[in-house]
Amino acid sequence: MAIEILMPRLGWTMEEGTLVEWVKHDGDPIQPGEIMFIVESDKALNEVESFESGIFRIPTASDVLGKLVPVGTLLAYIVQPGETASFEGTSTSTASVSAPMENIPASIQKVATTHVAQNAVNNDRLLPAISPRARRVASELGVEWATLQGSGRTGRIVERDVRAAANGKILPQISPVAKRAADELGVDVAALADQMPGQRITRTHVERAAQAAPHIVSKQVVSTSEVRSPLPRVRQVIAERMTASISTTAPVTLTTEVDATHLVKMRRDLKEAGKTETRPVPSYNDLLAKLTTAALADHPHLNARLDGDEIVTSTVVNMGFAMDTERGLLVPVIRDTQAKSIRQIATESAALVVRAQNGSLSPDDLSGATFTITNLGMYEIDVFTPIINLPQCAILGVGRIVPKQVVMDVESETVAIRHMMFMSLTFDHRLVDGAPAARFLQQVKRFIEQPYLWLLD
Amino acid sequence: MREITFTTAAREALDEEMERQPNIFVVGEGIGARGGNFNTTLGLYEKYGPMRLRDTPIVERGFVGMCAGAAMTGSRPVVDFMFFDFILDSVGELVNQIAKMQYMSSGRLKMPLVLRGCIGIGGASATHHSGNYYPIFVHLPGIKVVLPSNPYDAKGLFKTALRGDDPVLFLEHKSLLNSKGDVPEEEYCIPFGQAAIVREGRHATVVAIGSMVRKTIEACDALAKENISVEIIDPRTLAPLDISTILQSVHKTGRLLIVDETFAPCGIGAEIAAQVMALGFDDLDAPVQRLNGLHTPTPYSPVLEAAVIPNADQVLQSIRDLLAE
Amino acid sequence: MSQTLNLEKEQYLALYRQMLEIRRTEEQLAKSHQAGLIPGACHTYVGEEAIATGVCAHLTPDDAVFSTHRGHGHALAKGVPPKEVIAELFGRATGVSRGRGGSMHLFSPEVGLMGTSGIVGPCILQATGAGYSSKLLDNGTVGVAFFGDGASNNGAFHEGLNLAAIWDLPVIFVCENNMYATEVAFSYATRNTEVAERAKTYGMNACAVDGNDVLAVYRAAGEAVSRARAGYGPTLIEGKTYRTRAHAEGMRDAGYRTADELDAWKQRDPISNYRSKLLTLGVASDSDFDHIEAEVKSLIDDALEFAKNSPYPDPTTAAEFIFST
Repeated sequence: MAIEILMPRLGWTMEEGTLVEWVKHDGDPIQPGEIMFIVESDKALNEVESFESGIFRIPTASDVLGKLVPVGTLLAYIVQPGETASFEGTSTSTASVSAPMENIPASIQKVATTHVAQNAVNNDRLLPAISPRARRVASELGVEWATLQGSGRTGRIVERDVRAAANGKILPQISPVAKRAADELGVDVAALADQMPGQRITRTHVERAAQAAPHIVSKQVVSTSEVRSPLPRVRQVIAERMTASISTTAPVTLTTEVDATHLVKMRRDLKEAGKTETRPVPSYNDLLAKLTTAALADHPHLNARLDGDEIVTSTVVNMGFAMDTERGLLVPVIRDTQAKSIRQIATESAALVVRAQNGSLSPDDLSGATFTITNLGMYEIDVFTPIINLPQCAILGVGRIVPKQVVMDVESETVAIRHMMFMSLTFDHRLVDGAPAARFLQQVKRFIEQPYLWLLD
Repeated sequence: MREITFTTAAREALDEEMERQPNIFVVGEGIGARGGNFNTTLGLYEKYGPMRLRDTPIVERGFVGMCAGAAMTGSRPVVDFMFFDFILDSVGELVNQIAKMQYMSSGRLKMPLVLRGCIGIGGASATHHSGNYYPIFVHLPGIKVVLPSNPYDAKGLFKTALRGDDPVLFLEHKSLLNSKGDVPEEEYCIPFGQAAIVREGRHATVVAIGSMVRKTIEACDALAKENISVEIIDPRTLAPLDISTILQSVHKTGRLLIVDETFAPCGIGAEIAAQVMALGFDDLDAPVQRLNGLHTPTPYSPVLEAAVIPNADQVLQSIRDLLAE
Repeated sequence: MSQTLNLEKEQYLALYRQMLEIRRTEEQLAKSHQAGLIPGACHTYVGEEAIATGVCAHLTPDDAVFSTHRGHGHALAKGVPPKEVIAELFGRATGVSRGRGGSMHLFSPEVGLMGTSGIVGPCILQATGAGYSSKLLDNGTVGVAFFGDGASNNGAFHEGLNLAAIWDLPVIFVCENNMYATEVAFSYATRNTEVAERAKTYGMNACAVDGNDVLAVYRAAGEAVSRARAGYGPTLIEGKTYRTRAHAEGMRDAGYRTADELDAWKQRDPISNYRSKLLTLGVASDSDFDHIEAEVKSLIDDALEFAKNSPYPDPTTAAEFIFST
């Protein structure tokens, strides 16, 4: 019997919600605990998990994506292999178990046929095989494993595949001989894979890389008496980048307090207006991304990087967002923010959030930023000193917005209650001096205080 | 530290305990003035005399059954089978009487009885002198099964066996008898049910039984050159079995291979695999694998003999296969 | 009937009382078995009471007795109270083996009952081992094995007798030759039905006595025990006897022996014949026997009540006492 999947009630007061993304697509196998789709309700994006196993079916005529619909609206079905969903075949609402095979999509037919032929005792899995340990780690790291490619002998998903997915990395394709050679020669396979995306790494590649950079890291033997766990790949990357940043840049942090009252009003108005909309409402980060991009247009020296003895100034802004995920700090990127509307930025950033949460960020999502914004406001942080995300020149740290009593006019002794916020700009003094950096920060501050200014261009 | 052989270490343990406990006596064929086929009692007859080093007729059932009665009445017998294969002639006494006596008497009788013998394949000993058989006894409640892999463990475990009140099978692999190792002069005992972590590692766990410990070390030395780090566990006693050390290791590595010279069906590897599956399923990143000797009686010709037991190359390949799972 | 011994009246009556206690206990067990109070097997000793009684009269609690599947009489004669035997067969926690044994596994080391056994033969070897302990520990005890004619065809008999003989161990082998091993006639199962003669071939002291004559058994056992304690080695006593109930309660008792044979042996009942003899000799009067009869009846009645009212063992203790600790 097909199981109906309805718009869920995700909060006590929720009456309607927007399906912002199908995570499972029509015909996908699904098992309990897997995410079916993402719903935006008045507070947040919610991943909606399945309680059932079977095959996920979305009605052919479905147009719910992006629409605000009442709780209880029929969104999809979960059917068993060989079973048809009610939207198929006839227009009646009763699902017919004995529906003709031709009504079933080809991908399901195969499963169904095999199922019947082998009388339910078969090795065809609806889901890829996964080791118990990999399944446990996937659950711990929140990795959706059903879509992963396993690297085990029989294609089984093993722990390393899950951890690689958690790092947002596609495991490099490498021959066993090359893997052994890489281990012997101390070649970093991940780094090598980055240099040759999409290609299978062979022993020749490894040996060439070893000759080019003959620094062989000898591995330490793990010793006793303490609980030791290997540094997860994400942390390794973070550690390497942070260390590199601190040791190679000349960081200076400037701090200023901003009156964000207008920005708050703007965001509130947009949210109100967006209530009848189905598209994502721009977040503060989206607004900050856009206005910072506008400021960078006037201060291109902060949208730059040092390459050897050359300063490379980017003509486009690729805005990175520091994001806390279960796997650690990730910095997904929205490209060409100078050419995108706030709406586009908002849509993209919502998708990035989803991908960051389910561990499906691609390497493209995580590379190429020219400037980074890091926002710790939600953690009630006022001021902090961000670390530059190499090879970029600067990073903007944003604190929380708090209502404060502020002196508006000393003469008339006027005070007012305003939404105030601190910003911290860390920049690399090798590339830019204090005054120009301060001017850039000043412009960002002005754009926050007077949002209409950056709407001009 | 001084180095002595496995046999010397075990004999020291016996000598020290016979000195300490006058109710210990040894029975077996040729263990008196001759000092044992494998020198297990060399020099002890002169020291302790015929009442405590008792040569027997070839009546395995007879002297094992007799030792059961002696153990129930205040003595601490040690049966020296020479070749452990000969225990099979006394299995009824062992299984139906010795193993059950404490239970049948609701703990009011003790059964301090050590049954020792040389096990294992090697030296063209052929099929009546190459038996392992220990999985049979691990299956049974009421018997402890000890299988040391080096002189240090041999001495410490034998002393524990000789001090306990339970029946113990103390099994000495013939390929280890002349192997040397560090054994301190000072007295020590090794408790049962505590596995030894022979080597720490991260990528896979190998539980190696008895003589397979050395072969596994050899294989892992080769793998270490490839930066493959293998944890080697020697259970030392198969009953009781220290499953928790194995589980902790599998928690760390996710992969488990059990290497055992003797047969796979219903064997130690099967038992360990089942327990790890039951208790550590979510730690497994690959199916538990076993490497065992061939399921065949032992042949004589050295070429055939070598073909029925796992060697270091096979251990190495099995670890590679496990890592590729 | 054998010649009389110079015993005190109390000693004569004690033998009578012991036989009667065994008989009444067995009769109660037979009735209880029919009443469904005994969940398992029950092999009674009815008709053979003189042997256990005559032998055990010479033993102290330190002397170790090893017995067979038909062992209730040995347990009682060695000093186990009837209530502990009955409770054991009822499967109660107060049974002599705390409910772990049943009819064939009665253990009371406290009184030197080192166990009855469901396997034919091992008791011979274990008694030999007790003899070895006695000699090793130099404590003056003897080991005693009770077994049937069937066991004398088992390897354990030959191995045990041989070991006891070559080492001059203080062991009494008591063969209760009741002419049938289960339902197989001894005359069919061996060419030499004289067990004592077979024992002599091992170079040991041996004699055959009328197993239904408690005084004959008493005298032979007295000599054997004295010889053993004095260091003259083992003795085999063959008591020719007959069980007058089925091999086990509830088993069809037909086809292998004739009614005439059974009746003839019932006429030779060890208890009533002994009573007649003591009356004839004027050692005791009817009132003496009436008094003993009443006393034993009361003992068994109380034992039955005790057993019926005893708790069953705690199921959570089912796997306790497998090892000493």
